[in-house]
Amino acid sequence: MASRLGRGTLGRFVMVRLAATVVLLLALSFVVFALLYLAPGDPARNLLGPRNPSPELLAAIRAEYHLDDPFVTQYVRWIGDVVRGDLGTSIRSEIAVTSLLADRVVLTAELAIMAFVITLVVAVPLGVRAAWRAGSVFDRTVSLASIVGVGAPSYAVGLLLLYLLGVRFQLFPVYGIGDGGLDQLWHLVLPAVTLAIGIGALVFKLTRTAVLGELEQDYVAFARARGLSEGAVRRLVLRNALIPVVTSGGLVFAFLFGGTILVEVTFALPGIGGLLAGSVTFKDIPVVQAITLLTATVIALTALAVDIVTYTIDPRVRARGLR
Amino acid sequence: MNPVLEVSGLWVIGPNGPIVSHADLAVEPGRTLAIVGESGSGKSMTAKALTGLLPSGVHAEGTVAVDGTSLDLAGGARALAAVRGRRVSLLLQNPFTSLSPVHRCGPQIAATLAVARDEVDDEVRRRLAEVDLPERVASMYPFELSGGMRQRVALAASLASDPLVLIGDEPTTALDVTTQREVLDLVARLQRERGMAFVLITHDLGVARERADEVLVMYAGRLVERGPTAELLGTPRHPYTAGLRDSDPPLVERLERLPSIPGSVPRAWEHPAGCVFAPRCERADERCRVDEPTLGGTDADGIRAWACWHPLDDRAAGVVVVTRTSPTDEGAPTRPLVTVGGARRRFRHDAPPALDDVSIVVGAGEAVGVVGESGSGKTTLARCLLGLERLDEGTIEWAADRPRATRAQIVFQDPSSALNPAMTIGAALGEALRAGGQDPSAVPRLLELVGLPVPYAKRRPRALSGGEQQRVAIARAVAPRPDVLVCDEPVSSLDVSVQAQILNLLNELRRELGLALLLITHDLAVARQVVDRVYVMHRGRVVESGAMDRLVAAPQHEYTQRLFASVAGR
Repeated sequence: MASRLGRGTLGRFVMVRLAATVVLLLALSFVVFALLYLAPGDPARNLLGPRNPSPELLAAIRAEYHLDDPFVTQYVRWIGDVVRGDLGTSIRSEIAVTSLLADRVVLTAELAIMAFVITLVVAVPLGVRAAWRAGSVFDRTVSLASIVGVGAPSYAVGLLLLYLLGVRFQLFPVYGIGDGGLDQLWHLVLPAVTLAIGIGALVFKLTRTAVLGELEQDYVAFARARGLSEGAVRRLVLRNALIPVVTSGGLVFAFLFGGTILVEVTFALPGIGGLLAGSVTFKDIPVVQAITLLTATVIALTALAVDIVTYTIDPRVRARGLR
Repeated sequence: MNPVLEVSGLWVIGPNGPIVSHADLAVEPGRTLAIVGESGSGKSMTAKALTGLLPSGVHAEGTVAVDGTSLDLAGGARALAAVRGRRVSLLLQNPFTSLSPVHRCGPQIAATLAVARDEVDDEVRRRLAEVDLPERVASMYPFELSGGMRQRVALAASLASDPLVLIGDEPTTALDVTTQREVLDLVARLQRERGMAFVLITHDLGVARERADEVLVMYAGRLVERGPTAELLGTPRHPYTAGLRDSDPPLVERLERLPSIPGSVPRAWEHPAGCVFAPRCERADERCRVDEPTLGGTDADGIRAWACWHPLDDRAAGVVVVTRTSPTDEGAPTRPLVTVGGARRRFRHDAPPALDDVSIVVGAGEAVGVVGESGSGKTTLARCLLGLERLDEGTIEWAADRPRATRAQIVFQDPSSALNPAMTIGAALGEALRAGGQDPSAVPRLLELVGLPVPYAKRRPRALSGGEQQRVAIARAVAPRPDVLVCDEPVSSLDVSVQAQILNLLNELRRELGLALLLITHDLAVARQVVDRVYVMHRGRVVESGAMDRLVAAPQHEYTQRLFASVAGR
């Protein structure tokens, strides 16, 4: 028998949320484009970088970038290029931003995904177990460790891991990305662990709190009083606790993608974090714009994914639907 | 017949000392035993001890024998695993939280069914039919159901493993009166069909009177009296039982002054030597303050027992002094204070309106009731009157053009959240006096007015009992000298013995200050004791209005009749 909550509405839900995401990204792109004007100084000079330009050169730049057109016209032309995959030319290296980013995005994405997977595989089960045995030695030990994990800065953790596992015991490579393929993944293990420690501590806390909150609910007492086995009670609780964990997981992934910079610098990885740092220093505005836009897109898509997952696992959200 | 559940020497011990001290109880198959008590009486802890659900830091002692098998309660959940669910099951108070919100009802019922996998669907259908629910409920989520339907699903779930004993911990307290009756009728029917024993834990003497074969009265962790229902409530021996019975407001008549028990309910571990009830007891003497009575004095058959050195005799126990006030007119008040006309309010497009063409009038100095169940719109009406909520359509006209603070003030249901915990009582009252342009030095007079000692001004709300907090909330509301005092369920979070004190206070204040009262309540008996005129609301509309006397005697509207018929124990 069909429920009143038909699953056919999922498609509509996704379409509406997707449209909202596109609108959000357009608004963001507008802000990103405005960076050129928000940066101090003459945009034409900024686009030329730290050269000392002749008036002719400045005029040429103004013509090339249509800097004398109205702001909105410029934006529309720019966003049109972006949609077609043209993000402009880097000022510093004078090559197309897209080709500059291509390899680095893959590396950063690999790093972020690896860190995310490590986080989920380790922190969520630990959080569940700690909540189930709240107050036990296990709970107190892991909780204490998580406080250290949240507090320790990632560059310090990175250096410590480098020293211990890379230099002292020589288990992991200490530098660079290796020869591609599996070797590249192998080189990313230490940086990913470094990232996962801070984030994992956070996810552990969130999971523990979520499960503890569910354990205090009446339905758990009721289930036990009815004679449900501990295993059955556990499934009931985990299904409910999944909802806040998914929400926080999404936030964490979005943070990871934008938060790789310190780790990339520590481990000398050519990811977008390192590129962003260099480009900001150099006022390489097209590159900064591209990275900002990219990060914003990843965050918006993550939020979209979280919404869709929440929609499918929480019947109450499904019932409220698109209202 | 032999008891199916027999508990002997039950102690529940918490970090601060005993919560339940030496309780014995027994119930036979098919019978209903009510455990009656107020907050802190230990009745819920008894239920938790019997189902192995005690919170950490709290443990039980004693033995429970279920259907001949004796178990040590000190073993907690592990020791009770053999009987939990299978022989003893539990039904909780709040149907909104007792089911998992993200699982469909069918699987939740099926979780403890002992049938083969391919028969589960049929069995779930049969179990739903048993509690008068259609089969489509199996594939619905709890949030799609009303409170009454959810409690039926919960009932089907707790009966899935066919227990011999059902323990209901305030199983209908969270439900509306009409739904309450339906659920209790259903339990009674299932009990008959299955020969199941029912342990009904309740604060509501009316429910116990109507449903139980035998009643146990608990006070501050002690069993104070036990006996067959009619006998125990007809001729209570323990002064507490008598006080509890008499504080329960009657529906048929309005009393000049409700009998009440002075003071408030103590915490179980917070009592001195001697009888736990002695500090609130008129009959207490030196012996009561030193020597604790045990559940001894019995009559011939040994079922009746009480723990009191000075039990009431038949004559003293049976008499309640009733003073009836004069009946009031049916018509509209001569001097209207506030008139609400054609009020409409809708919160969501797809939900029925909270207020649908509501017109009421409150006269100067008049006591008016708005009675209805949850979702009737009564609270929305009160909030609109105070300007806390706006109307979509309609008018609110005040006869006198006075500042808002002196037009109307409100007393909320839960005093603990209505008072600022960081502010002393004196500061809170001073602030309210200033809001009404009064002299803030009048705080002591205000405290005396609501029957609180003047030194309470220095205390913070946390140091006060629920009833005392509600007195403070009332003092704060009357401080600016409003024309009308709106009370939104002012006693429904209070213990019965304290409830009567607050109702008496409201009546006194109205007489002394010439206040108009607008009492919002779901409880007809409470309204009966306070108001002259009443509006009955149902789904956002006023379905009937008139003098309370007339409505009690001859309700006209079908809904009003049903509402009055649902009041338990009368």
